[in-house]
Amino acid sequence: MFKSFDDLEREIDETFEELMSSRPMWDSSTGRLEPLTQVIESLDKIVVTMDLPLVRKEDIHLTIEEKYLNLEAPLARCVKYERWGAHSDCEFSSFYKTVNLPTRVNPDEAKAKFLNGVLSVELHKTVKGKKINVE
Amino acid sequence: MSEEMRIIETKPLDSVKHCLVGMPDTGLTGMIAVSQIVESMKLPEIGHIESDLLPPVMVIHDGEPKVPIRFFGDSNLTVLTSETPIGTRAIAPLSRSLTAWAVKKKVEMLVSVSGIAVQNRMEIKIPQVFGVATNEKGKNRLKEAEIQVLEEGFMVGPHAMIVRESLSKGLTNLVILAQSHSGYPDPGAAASAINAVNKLLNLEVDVKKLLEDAEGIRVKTRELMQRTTKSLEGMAKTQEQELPAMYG
Repeated sequence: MFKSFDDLEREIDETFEELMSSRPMWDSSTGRLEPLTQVIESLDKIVVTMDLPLVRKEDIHLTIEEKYLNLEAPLARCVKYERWGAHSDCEFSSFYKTVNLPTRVNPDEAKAKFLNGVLSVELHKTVKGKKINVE
Repeated sequence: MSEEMRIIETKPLDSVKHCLVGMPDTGLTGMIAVSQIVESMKLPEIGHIESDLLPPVMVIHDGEPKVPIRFFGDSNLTVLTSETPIGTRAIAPLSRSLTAWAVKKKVEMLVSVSGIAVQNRMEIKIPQVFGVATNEKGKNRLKEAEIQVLEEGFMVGPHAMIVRESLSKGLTNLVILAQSHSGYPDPGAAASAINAVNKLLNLEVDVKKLLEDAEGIRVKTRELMQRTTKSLEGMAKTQEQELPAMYG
């Protein structure tokens, strides 16, 4: 059986996500941390939430494309890890994350709110399910 | 005692009045709560758990290698916590060993602390706490501490297996469940859980510092939360958020 292009694209995205999830959630060379993220998909919507402690609402830089959500947010204060592993002191100053969305969305209809340090972004799917009559 | 799990007491105790358990689970609520209690009460390390069923992990603190699952405390209050998630295969043997140890030590009350995921957690300022007890004595203690009994629902994870083993051994086991984020570390939920434990065990652990440090704790426990979430995926953890089939 042939897979549709969308199915293949989704499988590639999932494999990519799996590979990405096995790497560290930080990069000391850029001082960036990766936030914990959840993606919940329903019939016509995708809701992406991110835990963003030490971030102020006005500092959140969020961009949305059809298939991606990109977040960059500086921390209100740097986070230091002292005496950790083989690293000397590590210092982090921002969160950064690109989320591959499971399906295409309309960036113009996106809504975001930030409450108690958790960002929630509601995205509307471009291709919605077709309503059919039940006989 | 299960041969698969060995409880090693580096400072042996003849008896233990209360035992508190907080493992990495929903929102890391139990682990954060009991770690705060250990730190606040300056409870000394008194033992650990060894098993081939546990991940091949050692942690290093102040240059000293440590087993991730350790006991702290004294004969009045012993606390068990872990710095690594407990895999599915290890949960039942761990629960069997822990409850057998609790019976041997004549533990009056074994209290597990955990989180219960709620979808609208980001809108809740002070998480509510619910309790589950294995017998009437435990239910009365919940009532005296003004902790609402969880009337319907599912429990999945280490605290669920500890309940099962406590029931079979006639042990008084209470589970304290604070409303929590499912996949994000939740010091706010841990603070609510500590307040409930304070009432239950007549402790006076202050949650002010925990709440002040909450954002830093959330940053520094992201990776443990991610690893815990993956570990919980293998336990049908999402069943806790299912509506129960009301046929019972």
